[in-house]
Amino acid sequence: MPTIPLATHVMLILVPLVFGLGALAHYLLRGRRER
Amino acid sequence: MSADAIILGVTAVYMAILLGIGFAAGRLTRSPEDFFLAGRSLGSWVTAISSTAASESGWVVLGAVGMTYVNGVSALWFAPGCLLGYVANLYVLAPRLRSEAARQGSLTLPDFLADRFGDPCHVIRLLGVAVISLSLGGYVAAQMTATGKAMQAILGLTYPQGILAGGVIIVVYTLMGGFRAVSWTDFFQGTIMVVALVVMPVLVVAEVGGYGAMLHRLAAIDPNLATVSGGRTGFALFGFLAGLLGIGLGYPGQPHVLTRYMAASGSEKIRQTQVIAMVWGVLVFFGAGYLGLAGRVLMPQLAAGGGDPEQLFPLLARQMLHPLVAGVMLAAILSAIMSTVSSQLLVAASAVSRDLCEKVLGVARSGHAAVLAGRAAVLVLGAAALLISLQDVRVVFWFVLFAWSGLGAAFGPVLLLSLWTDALTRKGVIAAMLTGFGVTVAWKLSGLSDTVIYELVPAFLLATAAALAVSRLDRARGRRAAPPAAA
Repeated sequence: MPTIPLATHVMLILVPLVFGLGALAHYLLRGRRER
Repeated sequence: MSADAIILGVTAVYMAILLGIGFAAGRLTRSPEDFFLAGRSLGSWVTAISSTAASESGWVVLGAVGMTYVNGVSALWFAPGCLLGYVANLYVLAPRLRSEAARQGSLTLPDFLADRFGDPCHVIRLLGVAVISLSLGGYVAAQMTATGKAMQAILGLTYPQGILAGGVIIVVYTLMGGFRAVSWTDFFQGTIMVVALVVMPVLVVAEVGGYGAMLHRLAAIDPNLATVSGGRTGFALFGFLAGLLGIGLGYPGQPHVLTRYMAASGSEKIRQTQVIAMVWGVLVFFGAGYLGLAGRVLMPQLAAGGGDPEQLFPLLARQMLHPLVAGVMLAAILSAIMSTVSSQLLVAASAVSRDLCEKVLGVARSGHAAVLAGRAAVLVLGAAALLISLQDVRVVFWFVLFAWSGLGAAFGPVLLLSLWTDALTRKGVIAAMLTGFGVTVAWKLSGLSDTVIYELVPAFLLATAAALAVSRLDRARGRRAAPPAAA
């Protein structure tokens, strides 16, 4: 069975998580700072 | 009841909802600020999802799915490229653009630049109108064509029937409710898009055995399909990555997207808009990518010439789902196309009625007359786009090649620099707009886009350089012309 490169998993799992969770974290942290 | 009849029924309900929204929005439209900017009253959900739906045309549900089907994981570089564009728009431009446009009372993008830099001879405004008209005029006609073809494929109508059914509805709801109708319908359509691009990929990935099985089966077809380089090396890889990541540079210059931020009801709405739009983008882009990858495993025959990979989404929806659900999925394709057309049509119409007629020619200045002129511009431009699509006038579609890059390079650098620095002068703005659009067209025509790099990358960089260099020269000349006052 062929090995799937680590970079493929990074692209398919980590990249969307970074953008999605990054946006959520920014929203929550900035909200807390403003309060 | 046959599957086709059920799908036709779902589409009819979808179209009726669009018209209903247009009618409701029309009742709230009284002033030019209502017609061109929804009275600056949009909430965060509508601002977020309508702006993203407006920016993503049929390309995301058909083209991006097909591209990932053909190229595998490497094609997914478009997703971080687009999401970086979202970051630039939502975090860098949107907050300041909203507050500055409200402070200046600007209703359109040329309005904003002309008010900010002073434009006594209307050069900035006319340049803005020219770039918007050249880019979006052809774009609207091309998207009308796409609407007709989608209706043809989904409902089995003839091409002219498809264009007339889809196009007339777009023109009618845009004409009735202006910016508010376009924003509300885009919100509705963007919601259908995100639901479709979450549900379909989940079903198809599950069908091929899950995430791990999907990747192993892809690699068994061709090992390059499961790598992020796609087997490319050296300059070919650089050009490929620059092209896909470079798409993001276009976002800060799209007037039909940026005006949505100008219409947000308050600064706190922009903060909520940011997170909603980013999550929408992640779901839609990666949903399209996963669908293309899993579709390659499930329907390998399309790659062998047994069909068009860009039709993967509708083919899978019809094959795997109950007609009622398939109808909703297919409405997502129409949504993606129609949300972009209506937004572009309104921006093109506002450039003509607000910037050209009202501000440059000085006609239709009163509130009632300005709204009437806006509606007339939507009707005339919409009818022209419909006729062009029906007649298949190819020369108009020539401009589509430059639309995304031309708008991105003409407006993007100027907006980013003007909102974040004091470096620009009026002449710098004019130089940047001319350079951005000019380099885009010249680069594309010379064929360098295909052999060296995507035209938007050099055009954006050169426009930025032109803005800064000309502004600096302009300031230096101004200082020489005005000697320091005597002590």
